[in-house]
Amino acid sequence: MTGLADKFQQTVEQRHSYARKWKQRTGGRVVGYLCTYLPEEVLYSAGVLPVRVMGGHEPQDVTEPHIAGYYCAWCRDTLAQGVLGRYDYLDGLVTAHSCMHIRQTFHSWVKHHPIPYSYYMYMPGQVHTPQAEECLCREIEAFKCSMEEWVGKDISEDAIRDAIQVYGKHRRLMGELYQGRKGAKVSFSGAEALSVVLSSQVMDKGEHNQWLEEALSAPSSGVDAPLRLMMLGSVIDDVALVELIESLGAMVVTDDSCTGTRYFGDNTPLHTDPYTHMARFQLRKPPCPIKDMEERRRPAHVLSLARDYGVQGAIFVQEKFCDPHASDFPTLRVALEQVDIPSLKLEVDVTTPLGQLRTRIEAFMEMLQVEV
Amino acid sequence: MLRTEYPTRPLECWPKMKELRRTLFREYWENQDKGNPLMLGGYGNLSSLPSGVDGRGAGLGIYYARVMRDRDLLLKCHQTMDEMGYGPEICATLRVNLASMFMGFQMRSPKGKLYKPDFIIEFHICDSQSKSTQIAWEHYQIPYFVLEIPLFPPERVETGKDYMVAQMDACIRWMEKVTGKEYDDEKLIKAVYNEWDGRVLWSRVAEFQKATPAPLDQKMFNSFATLMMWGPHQQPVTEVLWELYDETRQRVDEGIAAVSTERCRLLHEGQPPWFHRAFLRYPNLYGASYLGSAYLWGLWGAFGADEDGTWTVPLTPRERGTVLRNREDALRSLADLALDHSPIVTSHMVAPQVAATVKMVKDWHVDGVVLHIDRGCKGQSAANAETRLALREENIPCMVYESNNADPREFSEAQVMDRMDSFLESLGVSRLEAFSSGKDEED
Repeated sequence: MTGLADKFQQTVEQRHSYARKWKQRTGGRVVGYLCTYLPEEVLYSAGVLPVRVMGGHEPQDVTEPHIAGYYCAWCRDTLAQGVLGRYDYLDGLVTAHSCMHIRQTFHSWVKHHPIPYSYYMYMPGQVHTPQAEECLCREIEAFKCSMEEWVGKDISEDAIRDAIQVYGKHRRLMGELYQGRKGAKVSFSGAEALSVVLSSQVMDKGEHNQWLEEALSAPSSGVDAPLRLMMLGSVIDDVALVELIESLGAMVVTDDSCTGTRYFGDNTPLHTDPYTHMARFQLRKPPCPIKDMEERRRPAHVLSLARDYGVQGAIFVQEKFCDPHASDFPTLRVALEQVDIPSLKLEVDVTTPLGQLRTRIEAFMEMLQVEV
Repeated sequence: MLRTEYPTRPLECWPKMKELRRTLFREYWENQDKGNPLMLGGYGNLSSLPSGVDGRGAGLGIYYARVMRDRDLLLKCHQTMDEMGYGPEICATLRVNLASMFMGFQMRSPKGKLYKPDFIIEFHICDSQSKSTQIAWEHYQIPYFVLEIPLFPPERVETGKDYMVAQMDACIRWMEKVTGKEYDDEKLIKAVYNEWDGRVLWSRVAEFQKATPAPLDQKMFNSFATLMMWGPHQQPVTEVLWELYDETRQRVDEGIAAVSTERCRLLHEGQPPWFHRAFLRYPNLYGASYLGSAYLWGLWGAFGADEDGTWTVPLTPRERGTVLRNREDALRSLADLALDHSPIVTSHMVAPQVAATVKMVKDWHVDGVVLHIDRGCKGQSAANAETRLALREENIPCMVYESNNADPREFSEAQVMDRMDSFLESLGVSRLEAFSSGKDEED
């Protein structure tokens, strides 16, 4: 999908311009969100464009007074974007409860760069319990009421159902796109798939669905994947890193990341009640470490992905100082080793040292090629 | 020249506290032998809940203080975790506790008997803590329950309370299932009354610290905090806290100081470097004293806030005449305690924690604040950067040092103490030639 891939990638690179133009074109409001546990459907049903706030991967020196250097690099990078005014077109900033790192970004941003609207939605951690569902349904309803007050109009149930339909379609299409990466011939490279997911987090979902349908309907015989890799991490948003890996003779065929499979989950119809539906989607999608308490579900999920996509090696992309992912790493590494999937752990900071990483990735791939 | 301004004397209830600590430690190891469950997790929060099945817990690290006094063992703990792939991103305290498990001494009693805990209950406020108990669960392969204490803004807190009550109810049914014991609601109700009493007493003693001279100092509080970790739901704990309360009030009335030379009052925010025993007494050299901290008082105390943010101590259910008639009443009361009156819960949200610390500085007549940018505890130091900015806006002197509460490899003593010297001098106090602290007690 060469032409389309460029279109998705360009949108990611020019995401601020996209949002400004959308605002100009529709007269609507744009709200930034920090964590993918937020039910975007509520924003969409209010006619608001949800835009995931992303880092800039550029050196910065503005966050130290707010967040100490030993907190997650992604959170510092996203706060830097706010402090530097890169998101000055936002009308609001919202987040769902996840880790302590992103909470700091939210609070510092709202405090020091006042924004017309801000909202903190609680997202339970015990996602597998019925109590969590009841709690989250109430929270989503409260968020909807807050949104109604802010935009100054009621959000009808039809509007919510429409939004659910658009998002459901998106998840189905993303599932189809990933399906095309399971066979021997891979329809979409890792870098292309990442661009698609990232663009979906900053674009109008209806428009993104159209682009996706176009991409999926384009004839593609796929390409051979000499080495099939999986990437695991919190927020893998650096397309250049994936391009580097793939330029060395591997193909990233799947991922466990909130810029990948954890974002769109699956598209199982969940409930006729819209709030229960939205809650269940957030509660049942593949969990990040913070939402994977008690008996672990991540190892089984990761192994299932590895099996379905024929993965031969795994690369952990660890945001520096992210303690939840650091806690899960030894368990996941062992789980993968038990099914003969070697892994490599890369630690990344605000900036990605591609030259250094190249050497390590090459060595890992040489080892894999010997084993394969 | 010895410069004594205030009378001082040791706490009379100190020996009783020490004796109770020994008793609770001994009873912990005896609990399973008596047919009762031994649990991991908790760290004293909602300690009433397992009392219905006579469960006893002490977090994950019953030997934590012991490890902090043995540098070689402490370093070996960190080395063990490094070798197992658990990186330095993970909470240093929990690394030490998990290492004690992997190294095989976590559940070995002083008499040498190795116990296997019966179950784990984690009260999830801190993500790192909860992820750590997950690792313990994998190690021991025993039943495991996580009870989430949610972070809600005041306007939607009722949703959070309902969520908590539903979870606690599920937890009780789970405990009955995994222990085979019928849950005793009467024991729960009694424990909840005590937990409220204990935590409110802790807050009231903290309030006495507003007096000049301060009757206690932070290190003394830390010693009593061990009782809170064992669980304020226990009658003997509240009895000692009552004694502490009465005696502290008397010290205020009589003008008895913790530091006889007190002329400068400090807060230390974040966990101190636990392995450095003299750290919290260092300001005494200047006639300065750490009164306590929002962290320490908020961790175990019960506070609310007035409209202007003033820390207030709530009445207990007994004082309000609230009768806890059944399990539901008791659980609802625990949810009120956790979500309306627990600064440790709101401390995980940056904005309220910053505001609370600034208010505490004013209300406790604090001259300066020492903020620990603690690589070892991301949760409790998360607000410290923003707190520094807020204090600066209010022209309240503060000092920042970066270190690690449980890893001496990240503590540069010379640099930190040098910075302390400069900070104290900037507050207008100079080093005393000699001083009398009035604290000959061992902690």
